[in-house]
Amino acid sequence: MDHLDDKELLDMFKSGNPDYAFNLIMRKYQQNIYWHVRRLLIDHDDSNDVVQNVFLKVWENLDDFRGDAKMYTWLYRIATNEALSFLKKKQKRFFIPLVDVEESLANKLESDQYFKGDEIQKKLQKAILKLPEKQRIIFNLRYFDEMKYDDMSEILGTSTGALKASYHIAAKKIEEFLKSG
Amino acid sequence: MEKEKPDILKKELLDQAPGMSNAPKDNPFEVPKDYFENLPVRIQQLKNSRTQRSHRTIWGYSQQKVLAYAAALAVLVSFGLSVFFLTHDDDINDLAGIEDDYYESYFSYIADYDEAHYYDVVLNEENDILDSEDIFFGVMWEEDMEEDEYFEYLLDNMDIYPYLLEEIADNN
Repeated sequence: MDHLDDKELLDMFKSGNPDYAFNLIMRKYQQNIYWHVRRLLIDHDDSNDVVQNVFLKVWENLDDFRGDAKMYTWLYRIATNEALSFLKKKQKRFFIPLVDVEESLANKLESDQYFKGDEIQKKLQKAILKLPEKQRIIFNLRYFDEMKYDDMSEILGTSTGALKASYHIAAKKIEEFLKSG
Repeated sequence: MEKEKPDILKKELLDQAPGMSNAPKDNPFEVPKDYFENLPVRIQQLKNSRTQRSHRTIWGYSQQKVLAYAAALAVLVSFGLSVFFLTHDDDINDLAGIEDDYYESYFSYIADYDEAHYYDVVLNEENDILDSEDIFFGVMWEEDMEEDEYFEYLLDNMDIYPYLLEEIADNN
């Protein structure tokens, strides 16, 4: 069943076998969605919670998804929104200023038992965490997910021109940070 | 998910941030063992437990809703009645006056009611109807009835109350 494309999965979901179709959709996209969320939240447990919520929302709303957009851009959009609202909730709950959220995410990198990267990778991740929220998302989608600008535009609701400019700025900032020692 | 061509990505990075061209791209994060094997199962379980919970709470939820609506309705009705009585005070009193007068007359007639008066009406004033087939006090006179028989019949069957009420209305 791995060969089924998104339209076929959606048809299966709507025409009588929703549980099975949903299971296939999860298996097809869980890793993309998880890693996207994980790069934003760093912590595995937080990412796990958010990914579960993402797919529960997908289950609740898949019936209304009409297939005008690509399914994976729709999934990424839900995941991005869920991850960002998770960060905002955390910030509000603990009265943490935005700068400190980034600081605490960077600290998590140090203590995360599921981070296996070397020093250069750790430095790259810390550099990415210093970026403003939206630039960070754009950089991750382009650099790690190797996503096309058109798809990023569907996810973030930003023009491809603005996305290219943001990626350029983000890459320059990270380059500077890596050079700085 | 269709990825960007590697050569486009490489050229873009070389043009914009050449120092990044040798930066690592490998995923430095890990997940617990069998995480992705078990994740769909856990999500299915969560989904099912949520569905069950929502089914279980339907009655409780409805009950709460019904109580809430009932309470809101009671408040609204009380408020509406208060406003009505406050703004229609005079009308109510007028109505009450009419009602009181009417019932006062009615009970007064009932109290003074003398059956004989109505028999007299039948005997003295409406004698001619005894010869007719008209209806008197709701009782039809039949030609072959004797007078005494008719009065006996009237006592048992006639309903004077509509006529009493008519008389009260005329007097008012």
